[in-house]
Amino acid sequence: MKSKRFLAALITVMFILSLIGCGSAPTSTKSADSTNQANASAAGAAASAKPASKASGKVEFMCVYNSSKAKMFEMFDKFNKDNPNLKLNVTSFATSAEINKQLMVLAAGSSLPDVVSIDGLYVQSFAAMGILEDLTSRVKADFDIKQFYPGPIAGLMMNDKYYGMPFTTNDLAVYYNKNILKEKGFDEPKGDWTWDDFANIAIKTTNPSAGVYGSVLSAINTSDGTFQFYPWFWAAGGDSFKMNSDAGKDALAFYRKLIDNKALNPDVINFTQTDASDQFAGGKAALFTGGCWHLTAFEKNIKNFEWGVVNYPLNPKTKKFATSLGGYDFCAIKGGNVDGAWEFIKFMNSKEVMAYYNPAENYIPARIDVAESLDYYTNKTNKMSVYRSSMNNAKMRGPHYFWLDIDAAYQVMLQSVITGKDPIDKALADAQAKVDKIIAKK
Amino acid sequence: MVQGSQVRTSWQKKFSDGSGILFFMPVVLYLIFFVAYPIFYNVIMSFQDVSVLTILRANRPFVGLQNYIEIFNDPITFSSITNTFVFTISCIVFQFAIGFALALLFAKRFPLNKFYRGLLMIAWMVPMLIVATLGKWFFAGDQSGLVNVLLRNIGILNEPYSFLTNTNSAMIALICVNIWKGIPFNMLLMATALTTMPEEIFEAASVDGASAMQKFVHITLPLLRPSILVVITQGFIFTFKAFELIYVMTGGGPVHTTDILATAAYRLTFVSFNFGTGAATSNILFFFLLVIGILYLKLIANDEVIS
Repeated sequence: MKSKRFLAALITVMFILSLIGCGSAPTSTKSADSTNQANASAAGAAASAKPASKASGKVEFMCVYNSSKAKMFEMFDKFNKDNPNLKLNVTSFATSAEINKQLMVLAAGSSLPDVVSIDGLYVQSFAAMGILEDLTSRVKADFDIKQFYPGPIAGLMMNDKYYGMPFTTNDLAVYYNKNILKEKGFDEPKGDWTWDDFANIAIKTTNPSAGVYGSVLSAINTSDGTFQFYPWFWAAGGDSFKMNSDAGKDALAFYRKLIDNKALNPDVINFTQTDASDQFAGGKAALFTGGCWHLTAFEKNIKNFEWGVVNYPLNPKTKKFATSLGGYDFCAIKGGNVDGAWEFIKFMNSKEVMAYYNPAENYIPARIDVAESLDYYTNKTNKMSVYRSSMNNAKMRGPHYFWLDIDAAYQVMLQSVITGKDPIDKALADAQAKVDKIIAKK
Repeated sequence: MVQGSQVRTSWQKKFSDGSGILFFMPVVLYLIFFVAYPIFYNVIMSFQDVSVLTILRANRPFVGLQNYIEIFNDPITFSSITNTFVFTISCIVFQFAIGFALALLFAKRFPLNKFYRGLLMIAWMVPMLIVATLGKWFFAGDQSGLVNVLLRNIGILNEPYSFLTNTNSAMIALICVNIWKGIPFNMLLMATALTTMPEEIFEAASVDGASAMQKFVHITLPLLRPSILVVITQGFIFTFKAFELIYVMTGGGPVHTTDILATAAYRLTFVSFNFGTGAATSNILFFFLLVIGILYLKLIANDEVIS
């Protein structure tokens, strides 16, 4: 633990130094320092070396980051310092849903900001709405797109055009309570474990008298619940637009099996991912399918038991596992200060900023070159390495500009099966009918 | 006819110098911009195809009744309407009955009367979001839920029951929490009404030998009729458009069994980005409230005629 923290601190210091070095012209010679050479990529250096000639004026920025994300705000300040012609004004919102609402209201009143940070899931919807600037030529000129994970990029492209740049990404894996597993005689799960192993552990570790359920996850009727369902569905070979399939049946039957054996907390249909993580942190669940961002709270709060992380179990038929991909993108607003917005996006997507911010909040940098150059993500003894390696199996939901509507059909399907309101076949057929209708809409 | 002409002359008198208009224009403008325009805009939207593809177009496609047909073909709409009425009526009946009973109790003099009355007001002063969060914990289905602990300690339940995630009990849990929250409002208004009742009538009734029950049925209730109407109608409108409690406690789930019109409209508009059907759903909500508002005005008018 200690050595990991020391390493993280060391890397952080290195990047602060490299940032100071690359950022401002007069001190740029400092970046020649040998320790920083590895981090100063051609793209990053080019991005900061180019004078911000055209861009000037105010850059209004809307995001979910508040001042508790201190490192993010340090970067905002740095951007303002490095770009004297630009003035970044940050407006923070409590939730992603709040930003969506604001964007729609402001769009109707034509008083949008210049740049927004939005959940990658919504980029296509806002692009279809016509409020996002097509950044294709700028992206191609200033970035080597092969250096980014393909999942987040797929989410922000529509009709072969780029409508933003990804910044943080995240995915899901399985947290396990080592104490409970040991008590019941289970070895720690390995990367090749299967759905049957998961169910077996969950069933055997359920202990009603202690209030412990074998597993916990989120199955609430929001995108949280479905975010946690797709890994099972995709691992079974599911196609996001065709739930009425064998994969759909297998995934739902797996949920049903856990519920029927009381191996899954029945409150999951009201649990957000945070609620579910609280159950795990409180020692009330042996297994929890959680995101990399939960590491922050777990490392701080879990004191009375040992825990570990492993990738999702393999589906017995396909012998594969899958995970859901999340994350936030930066998008420029059409008709706003696009030049200013692009300077900001370029700054945030530089290797240095990505490497500085992402480890601090336990997100995965959207750039492969950054993720794979940091020990925090590559060292197998670090929990984060499980999340980074799972990125190869991570899929973007949809993408479709009507995805939110499609997702709602999944939510009803999932809840109908978990509560036992509908049999699996009916739930699947109902959901498929809705999705077919949504996709047919023009 | 006489009345009509009188009205006309008084209007003419008031506006002969135009000053009257200046006095009421602020209110009229306020109502036009902040009440009439949004309602009108929402009605228009409900007849258009408004999705992420069309919302910012200057001419959104007119689709006639398509949005209404779509929502009425969706069983969730009917269950939302039923749920809205079940939720509202159950809440109002209990809130009013308990609130009125407490008002009568606190009308009596006894030690610590004011202290207890003040204590009861807490539920009313706590923001709905906090009440909802507390409610979620009260009815939690694991070991920590207060209701579960109580019911198991007195031997009614053998193992924890998941109130909020069970399609049969989630609505009952919501109603219980909302009743708790609404009692003080009813109590406060009824207590105020009780203090305005003339003592002499009760004294006269006592002299005539009326029993307590007779006094309540024949004096208290008729005298309180206008206040009761106000409390019930206001409570009805307030409860009918309840949102935060349900949004936080169940989010309309499980499987839409606690979705009411307000949460359904929110979900369609801001979660699924189906603005057209969302607008149509809010218009159904608006229609019911309009009917209730008109009924209320009629009842009040009748009362004035009687008095």
